[in-house]
Amino acid sequence: MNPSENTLPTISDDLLLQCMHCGMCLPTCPTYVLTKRERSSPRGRIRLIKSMAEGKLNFTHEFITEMNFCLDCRACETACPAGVHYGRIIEETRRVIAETTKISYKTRILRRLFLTGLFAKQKRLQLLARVVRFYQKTGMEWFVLKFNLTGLFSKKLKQIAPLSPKISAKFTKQLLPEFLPAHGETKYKVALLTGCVQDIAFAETNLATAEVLVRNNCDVYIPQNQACCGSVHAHTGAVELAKKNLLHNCAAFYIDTIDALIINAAGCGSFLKESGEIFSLAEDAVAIKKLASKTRDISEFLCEINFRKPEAHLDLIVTYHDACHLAHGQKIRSAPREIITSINGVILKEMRESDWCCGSAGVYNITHTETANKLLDRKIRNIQSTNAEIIISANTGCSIQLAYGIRTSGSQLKIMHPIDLLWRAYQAEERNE
Amino acid sequence: MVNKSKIIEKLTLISGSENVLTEPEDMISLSYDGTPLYEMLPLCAISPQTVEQISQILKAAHELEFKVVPRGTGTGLSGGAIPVANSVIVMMHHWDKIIEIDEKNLTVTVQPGVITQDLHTAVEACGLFYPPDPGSMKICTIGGNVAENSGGLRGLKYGVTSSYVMGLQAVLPEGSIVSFGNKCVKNVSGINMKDIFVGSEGILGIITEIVLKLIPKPQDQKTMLAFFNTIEDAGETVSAIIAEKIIPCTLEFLDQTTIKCVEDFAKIGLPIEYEALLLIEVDGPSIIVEDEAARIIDICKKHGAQNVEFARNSEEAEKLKTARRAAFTALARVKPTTILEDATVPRDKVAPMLRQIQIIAKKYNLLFGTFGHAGDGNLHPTCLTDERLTDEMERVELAFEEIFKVALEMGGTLTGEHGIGVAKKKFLAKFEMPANLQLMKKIKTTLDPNNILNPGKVFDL
Ligand SMILES: Cc1cc2nc3c(=O)[nH]c(=O)nc-3n(C[C@H](O)[C@H](O)[C@H](O)COP(=O)(O)OP(=O)(O)OC[C@H]3O[C@@H](n4cnc5c(N)ncnc54)[C@H](O)[C@@H]3O)c2cc1C
Ligand code: SF4
Ligand code: SF4
Repeated sequence: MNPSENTLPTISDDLLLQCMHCGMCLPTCPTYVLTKRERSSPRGRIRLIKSMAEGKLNFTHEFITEMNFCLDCRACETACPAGVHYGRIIEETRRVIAETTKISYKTRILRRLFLTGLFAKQKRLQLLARVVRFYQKTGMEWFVLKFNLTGLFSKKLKQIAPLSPKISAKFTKQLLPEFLPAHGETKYKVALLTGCVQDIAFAETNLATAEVLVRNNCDVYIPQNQACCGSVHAHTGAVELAKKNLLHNCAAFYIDTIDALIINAAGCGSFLKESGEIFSLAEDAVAIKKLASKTRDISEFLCEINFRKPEAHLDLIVTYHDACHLAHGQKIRSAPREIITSINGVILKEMRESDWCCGSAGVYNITHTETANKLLDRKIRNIQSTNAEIIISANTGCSIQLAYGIRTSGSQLKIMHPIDLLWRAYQAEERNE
Repeated sequence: MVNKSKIIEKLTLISGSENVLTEPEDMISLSYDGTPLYEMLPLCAISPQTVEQISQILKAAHELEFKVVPRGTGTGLSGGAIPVANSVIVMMHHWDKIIEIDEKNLTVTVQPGVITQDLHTAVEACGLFYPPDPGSMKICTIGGNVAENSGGLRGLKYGVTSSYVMGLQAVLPEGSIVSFGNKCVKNVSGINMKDIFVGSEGILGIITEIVLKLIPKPQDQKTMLAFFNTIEDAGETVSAIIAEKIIPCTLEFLDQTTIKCVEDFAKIGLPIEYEALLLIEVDGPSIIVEDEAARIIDICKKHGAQNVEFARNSEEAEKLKTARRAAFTALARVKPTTILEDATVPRDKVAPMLRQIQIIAKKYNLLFGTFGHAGDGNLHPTCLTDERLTDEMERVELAFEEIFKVALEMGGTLTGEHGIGVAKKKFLAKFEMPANLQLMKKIKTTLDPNNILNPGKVFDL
């Protein structure tokens, strides 16, 4: 490759110079803490990218490996007093890597499966999910796992199999109509993004979200023609596909007429909020910016509108896992905790390193299984030492990863979304009445 | 000409290939520390596993003619850990064991790679206290702290790292292993050699083990913030508190630019309309704490404090101190390049020094944010600039030279805690008494006749 091709023109000098290499982010970076290797730290990666931008380093295999080793968890962004936009730097770098290099055949197939196959059309994903559910129900899962049959397909698939989430018995479409009116006075008109994986693995959480919203003076639209938010595409370099989904959703959600687009999966929310910035130079920037500005995480939104505190009493000890894309990506920490502690009788026991990545990190647990498992073990240990009976997590990817960790550690812990808990409290209250 | 592949071969023999780094990506990420504007690539880097291996590395350096640069976690602010030409980085941050907390003798024995904050946590769990707390404490190493004789927020009352080093083991440049001092509170057996290594900036030996003094944890503490309309008022207050014979544990100064940046990052509700604030903490037995806090409030008000607030609880106090520790990096929000200095003056000169910094900033048309450990006269005038503007960078250089000059005229020093390294050696050469410099160089050449260990740091021979 000739040197002129090495540069990363879209990452501005200013963005990189913002880092004054003080090292204050190092102790919060999981890949640094696990390896103690400077290049696997935020400060190291930024310097590598800067060297690349200055033409001092080529697109080496090691460089790419290092960039992909990053979890994109953004703990470094939270820690950085200088306000370095690490997420933008790493994602832009990965986009350029994806465009410039030939990705290995296996990864390409895997990506094609995920991007154009699975995530592009919700329907196709649901169909696949049905097959998977059949497989789980009939006990074939056990059989395949036991005899390592997935190994026949590919090594990667074997790694994915135990991770695959329990599929919801029903999808959102079957649980919810396209429109639910507010109970009582309508103060807000909101739309609900049902999410791809969220929809098939945690459709009940979508139901809970809608039910809680209508009990807080919201009309809720749940358009069936909505598309995936586009984050999986953008994170893996398929930017055009991501944009297509964003624009589709601007129309599907009637973005001009609603007060807020409600998200209950942190990863989707984080991406949507940033999409305005990512596509600020695109032709359709205005529409995307509007979508971004109306995006709200469900916990954030409920706290903003001063949600109704449930009156019922639930006797539970819970702990809360800060999803990276909520705590670091969207800076939302107190809202989910406020919801949890608003319920009488619920005791929130904080775990150590609650804002440490659980290892899920998009497709990281598939591409970097070993590191992901180390992080998961660490997370499960921290959870277990709280003696909580329920883990509250507000992101689909985390919930799947945590469920996997719980299963393999033989624990009885349950996982819930903050909104599942609030819905449970509302339901208890209504039963009492 | 050094033979790189031979060197790598030799180092691999010493510590095993898994402990030798050679990839360009690793070299780039070891080419800097926390100091702006300096970088250099090393030949390779090694994580030695034993003291003997360090000795062998240094002997190999003589044989194969490479230089050796010790490194902690690279947060240094004078370029001490930045590679030099033909150098191998000896990484010490893996040496992170707390060997023994001795509650009977009130000492802790550590390897040099222990992170300062981890040491705090460990000894505080035993009701003990290790006071030095540099702003970088959550990531810097004790070895780096000893090599730089680092200070911190609690330096005013409790002193700096050197006040706590009771003994240490080091490998000398020629490879011999020495060990001076121990757990004895009193020890005058021969020349006080251990202190030569404290603040030696990695040029006299590689430190491999340290015995540190601990003290009982103070019973109580009170933390407060005082806000001022002028920098001078804040400066006068600092000198007045000391003159009143009160020694707070912490007495930190932040000017308005710094306050704004810190608030922007930490979002703890600091008012940004004042020109300066003092973060003050007193500690000790409860009655004394109450009394001193009351007297300090009086002094603050007498010297023009517009408002004095107490931290409501220890979490709030911790938040304030954590925010203060972020000050330096937070200033980087303003401009692409952030250059911080460390000029220090006697404590009665804090107000005039602050005034001089303002005058100099204006004269050279530069933007400064100033904060620092005002209670011990250690200020950090920080220039917010852009390394891409050559004209401005020339003015920055002149401004700092002038700041050093006025500090020295007031009976001060070039650096209170960050060391000379590469960044300030020019000024040391210019301002230090020739006889002093000569003695320092003599010590260096005696221990390191071939100039193997971290050459070109502190001074050129
Ligand atoms: C945000 C920030 C805040 C800071 N605040 C303060 C502060 O309040 N007070 C203060 O004093 N400093 C402060 N510093 C400076 C710096 O953190 C200290 O100098 C610290 O002690 C350096 O430790 P390190 O492990 O990073 O050492 P490094 O930077 O890796 O090395 C520093 C020097 O020590 C030598 N060295 C390291 N380990 C050894 C060893 N085992 N044997 C021999 N030599 C060795 C190196 O060769 C080098 O010369 C701050 C820095 C930053 C970035
Ligand atoms: S990213 Fe921020 S915290 Fe990390 S080294 Fe750079 S400036 Fe410091
Ligand atoms: S995003 Fe996470 S893994 Fe990546 S550098 Fe930042 S803290 Fe480390």
